[in-house]
Amino acid sequence: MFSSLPKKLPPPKNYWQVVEEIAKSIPDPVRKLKFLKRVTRDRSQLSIAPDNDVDIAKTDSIDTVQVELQGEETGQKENKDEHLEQEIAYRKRTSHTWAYRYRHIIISAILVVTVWSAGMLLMSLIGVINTAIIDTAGSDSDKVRYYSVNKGRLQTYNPVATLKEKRDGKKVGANDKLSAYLNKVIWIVEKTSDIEFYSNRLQIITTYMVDNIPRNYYKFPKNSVQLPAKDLSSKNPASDIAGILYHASESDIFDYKPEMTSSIKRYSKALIKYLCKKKSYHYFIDRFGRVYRLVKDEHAAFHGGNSVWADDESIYLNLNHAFMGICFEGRDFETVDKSAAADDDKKGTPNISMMQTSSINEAQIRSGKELTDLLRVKYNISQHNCVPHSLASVNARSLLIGHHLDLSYGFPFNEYELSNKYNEPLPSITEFGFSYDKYFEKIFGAKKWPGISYSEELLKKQAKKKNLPLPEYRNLLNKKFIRFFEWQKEQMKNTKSVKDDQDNIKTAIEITDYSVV
Amino acid sequence: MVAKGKNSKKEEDKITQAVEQILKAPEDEDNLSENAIGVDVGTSKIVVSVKGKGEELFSSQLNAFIAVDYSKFTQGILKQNKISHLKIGDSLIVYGDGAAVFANMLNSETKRPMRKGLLNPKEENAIEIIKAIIDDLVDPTKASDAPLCFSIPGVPKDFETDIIYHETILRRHLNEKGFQSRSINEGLAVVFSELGKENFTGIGISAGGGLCNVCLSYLSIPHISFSIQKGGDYIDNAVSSITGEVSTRVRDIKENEFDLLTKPENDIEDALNIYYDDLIISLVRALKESISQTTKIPKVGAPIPIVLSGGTAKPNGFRDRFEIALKEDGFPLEISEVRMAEDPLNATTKGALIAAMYEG
Repeated sequence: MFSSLPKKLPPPKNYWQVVEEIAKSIPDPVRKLKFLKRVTRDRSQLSIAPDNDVDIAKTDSIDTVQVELQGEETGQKENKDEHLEQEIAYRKRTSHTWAYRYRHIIISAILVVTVWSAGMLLMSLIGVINTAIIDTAGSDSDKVRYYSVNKGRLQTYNPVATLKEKRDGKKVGANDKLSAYLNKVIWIVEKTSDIEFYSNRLQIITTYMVDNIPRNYYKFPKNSVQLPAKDLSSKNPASDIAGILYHASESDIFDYKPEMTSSIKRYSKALIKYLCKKKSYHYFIDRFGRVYRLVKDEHAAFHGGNSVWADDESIYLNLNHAFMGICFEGRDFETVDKSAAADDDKKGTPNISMMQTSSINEAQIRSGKELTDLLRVKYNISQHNCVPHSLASVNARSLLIGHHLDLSYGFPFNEYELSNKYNEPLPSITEFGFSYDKYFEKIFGAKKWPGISYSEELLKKQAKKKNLPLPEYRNLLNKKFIRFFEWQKEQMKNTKSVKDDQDNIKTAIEITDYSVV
Repeated sequence: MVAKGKNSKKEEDKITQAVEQILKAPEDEDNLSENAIGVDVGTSKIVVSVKGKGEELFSSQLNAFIAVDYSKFTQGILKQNKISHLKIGDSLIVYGDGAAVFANMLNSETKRPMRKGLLNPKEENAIEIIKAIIDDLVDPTKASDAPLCFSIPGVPKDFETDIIYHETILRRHLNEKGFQSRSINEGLAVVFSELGKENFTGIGISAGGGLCNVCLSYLSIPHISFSIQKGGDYIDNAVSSITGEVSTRVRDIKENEFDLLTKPENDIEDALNIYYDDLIISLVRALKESISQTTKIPKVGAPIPIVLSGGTAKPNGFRDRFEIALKEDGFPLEISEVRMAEDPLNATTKGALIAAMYEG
């Protein structure tokens, strides 16, 4: 019997090879399994470590791994208790020997940890002092302050510096994929068939969630006229979640006061049902800040229409598939009654105007922040790709920006720890030469996004660099857009999203030398 | 570490002694349970295996149902045609293979009591239906403490959920019927079924309806096991959404006509190609990630095999596509071969049967 074997053997060289050879001589799989299970189970009694001579793993990290043959990661319940007992017995027998053998390493490790802890303590103290200094320094309009939760220190973000870098053609924020505190895990705490509750207080109601079509889109290379390569290595077509597009429902709203509660609730419910039917957004935040998942994350939702956005590497033209759509119930524009205006005034006068204050309330903003944090952590979404719909929406036919205007002012970028996208260049202008019309100008007037001017400046600079008059350069960029857009449409012609949601451009594309772009 | 020097000889003697002791150990391997039962509880099918004379015997039922309004007349028809059904409230639930027949008659689609490898939380009668299908396949009169092993999925890699509830419900029901039941990871079951010659060392993959299950085993001990939430249903639904064809028809084409090695001739085949590629790439990517992230990789002297099984892996060319994806950007383990299971549809239940016999 095994119990008669010596209680402790030195680490053997070929023990497991011998076991394998014996096992190979057993033809019946059940008998073989029985033999192997018994041999591996008795391993702890023998104190035999596995063979370390040959490694099937090629990665460096695996080379140094001490291998446990059983019990720790079996992935199934069978023999779990038995293995655990054996493991405990094994560890009891060997712990003293191991501790002695590696005493130098252990002592060194303790020293390193001690020095590191002291360093961290010192850094925290410096951070607290800095916080106090910056807080007492008063307001600084260029700087947006935010707290890094896990480090407890104040950090600064300077959008003006960012824009300057961007204008100089430098890559912006290559390392700021996530804010420092977002490096922490957000995990699901509780889940029922209707609700998911997360560790950052976010609660998602999943009752109404519907399926749509799986994400499937193309990433266009930045600063290039090349169409996306369709091979396995280029990751095209892609299915990852690249960003978040924020929307406002621009639906009718009731006054936000207690006596209107049931009307508000009834309206929200009807709206949710409608949006689910249309598969309009991935998430919906009602006026009480409740978050609903309408379309599952892995699927596209028809929220982006014709939109353009870009990060440091790629341009996205199909935001239905590439981005998450989060919709806040509310509106920030109201309809203008033009019946009383003179006939001349009616012509070309916008029928909407900005509301005094946005109807999107504090509860919604808080929930939106929690949801944004979860999505950014879960899908490693860069802050560059978290943007209100208005900034990405375009009219692909007339090549104009601002086709949809939801959340075109007052988005709480600071609270969401995002750079202010109203101040940043618009990819639709810098990459494809889009422009805006008088209608747009009339709506916004002096409140036009500063990013538009920056984009125009950037465009002039690029045209000068290429020795081209601005109109000609813009025209080439426009043609590049049409080419990309038509190509994408061709690739996606069978998908429902394109059929349902994208405008039909009938533009004859002439053969053009795009290399200059 | 291997000790060097004059002690080496002494140590090798001790090893030899230990090995000899193993060989001298009493042969209790003869006590194998011939009444053991293996059950593959899959999203689309439940397959049962028992040991026959010299070979395994398999029986299966669709893991599906369709609900119709109760009437004495309908129930009479069902009984007359020996179609399995339950009466729950004001509904008649037709389940198993009969559900597909009934769905065709009504020009409707069947529903699933399981979704993505686990009990479907959106179907209120899921548990009752699963129990009924299992009862139809596993004769409870032969229970009397017979060892039974049923498959459970690996913990999904890309989704926060657990399998404890699913497993407990199944085990409780089978134990109540008188079986000595225990669960086995689906990927490991494939290893038991297909990698006997390799001493149960290698990677077993079961590509089923709801999930793809993966297990890396060394000498029968699982070291990595997980699942990804893509399977046959994912392909069917995606292709159906895109082409506008009903998913039943897509499934029919996929299972009977589709070949991943031939050029697509229509939109459905084209879409099937795209989503098969997506599934394969996701599977290989998840496998690479798991291997690279784990600190528990065994060390053996030879490259290991990968065996593919399950209905989703059945179309011609799946193995070739998988092998190509595996070679893209290198794989962290040396692989000796990628091969299909001898009987892809029954590999899991066969592995569960081997486990049940061993446990008995």
